[in-house]
Amino acid sequence: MKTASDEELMSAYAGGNTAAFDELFARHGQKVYNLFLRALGNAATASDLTQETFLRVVTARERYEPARTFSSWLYTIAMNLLRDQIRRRKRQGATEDLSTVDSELSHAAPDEENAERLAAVQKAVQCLPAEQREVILLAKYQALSYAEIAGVLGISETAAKQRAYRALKTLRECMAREWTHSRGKS
Amino acid sequence: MTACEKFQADLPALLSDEPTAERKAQLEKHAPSCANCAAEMSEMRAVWKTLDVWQEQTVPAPLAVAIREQARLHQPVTSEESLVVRVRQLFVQSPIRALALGLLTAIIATIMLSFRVDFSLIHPLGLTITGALWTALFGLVYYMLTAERDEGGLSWKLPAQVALIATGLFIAFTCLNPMPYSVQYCSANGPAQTFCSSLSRETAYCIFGGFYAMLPMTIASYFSAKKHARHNKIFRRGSLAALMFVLLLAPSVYLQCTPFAFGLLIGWFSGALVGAVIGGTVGYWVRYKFA
Repeated sequence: MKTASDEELMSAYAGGNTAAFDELFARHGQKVYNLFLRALGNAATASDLTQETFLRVVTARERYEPARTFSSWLYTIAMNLLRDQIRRRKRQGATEDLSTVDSELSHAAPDEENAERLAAVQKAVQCLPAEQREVILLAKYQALSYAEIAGVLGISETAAKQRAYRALKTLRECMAREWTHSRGKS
Repeated sequence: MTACEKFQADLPALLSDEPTAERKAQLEKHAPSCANCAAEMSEMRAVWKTLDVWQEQTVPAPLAVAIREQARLHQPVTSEESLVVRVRQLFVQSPIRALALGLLTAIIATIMLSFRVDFSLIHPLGLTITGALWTALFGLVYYMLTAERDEGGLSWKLPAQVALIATGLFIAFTCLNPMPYSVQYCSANGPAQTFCSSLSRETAYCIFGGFYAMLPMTIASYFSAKKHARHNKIFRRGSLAALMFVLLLAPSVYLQCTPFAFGLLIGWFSGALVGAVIGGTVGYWVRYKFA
């Protein structure tokens, strides 16, 4: 049986089919939640923003244009909320280092070596400038193409790739530093 | 661009398996011939792979329930019942319908202006051409309002929306207090009397025209702009909306200037252009900065 595309499901939902929304949430809910979780390192805020993202999908269903891919539209909403949240944090003077990251994030790694590596990755991602971090999160974890990322962030595809390249270089340096630091401790 | 620069530019896409098989083969062929690029690729691959350690977590069950519940609470009406959907479908991407709506708007705007402007001074041919031009301009802007985003991601919707709202406000302001009356009043009364009376009529029309365009544009762009408007696009978006607004404004400016008063027409029009660009940019900027 042919599986309905995201765009068909969204059109079905806009036409009154709530089961279509359940399917969309099943496909994208976890990805959106993890996007916020990785970007902000706080499970409660990630939950709030995930809920807000899908609420906007619900309330803006009639403005959705099927010509645009659903994932681009969804992540545009999510990234706008993320930017607002980061701006709000900055205004409140909160830092974005891993001291604010929930301890529950570290539970994802089963053994000690992986836990160390996970901590190094989390710190390295957190040390990226915001505009590089969002490209890496979308490219690596949300598996969006660079053309889609460009659409979501309102930049050119070349600029998206450049940011990703710079992000990878920064990550390499940060990871090496974190790795040496944690080895030095042990 | 050298082969190494091309390689670096495509490296992120290569890591996420994006390029076509042909391009991928080209890139991978380059790496062994260049020690730097080979080392770069191997290190970047390692970094990319290391990121896999950060696994996804499942959505907390209460959150999933709450989101599904909220979708049911806001259960959409069927497309047959939804007026908004039906209105959108009626006008979406149809030049004929957009033109019909443009004609309707031009008629309403002309009727509103007729309360304040003496059309008997205008030649019937001039009036007909102005009406046709206005219909075409409104039709074009309505079409832009409903057009799909093009492949490059350029959207005309927002500037078209701002231009239409600003034109509506401009006509409403004009009906309340036509600009020629304001120029006359300020030249004879009030604190700016000396200044205003010292200006030539063309200069006064230019300055007042600027303010009459700036005010509606500021209001329209502020309320239409998205809160997250990107800073580097504010001037571009403001100017694009201003340009559309000034085009929509042109027929009404012509109708309010007596025929052959080209000096007044040019003065007003140029003032309106500058005022609209300032208003559009300021509206977007205030929304971005403070909303």
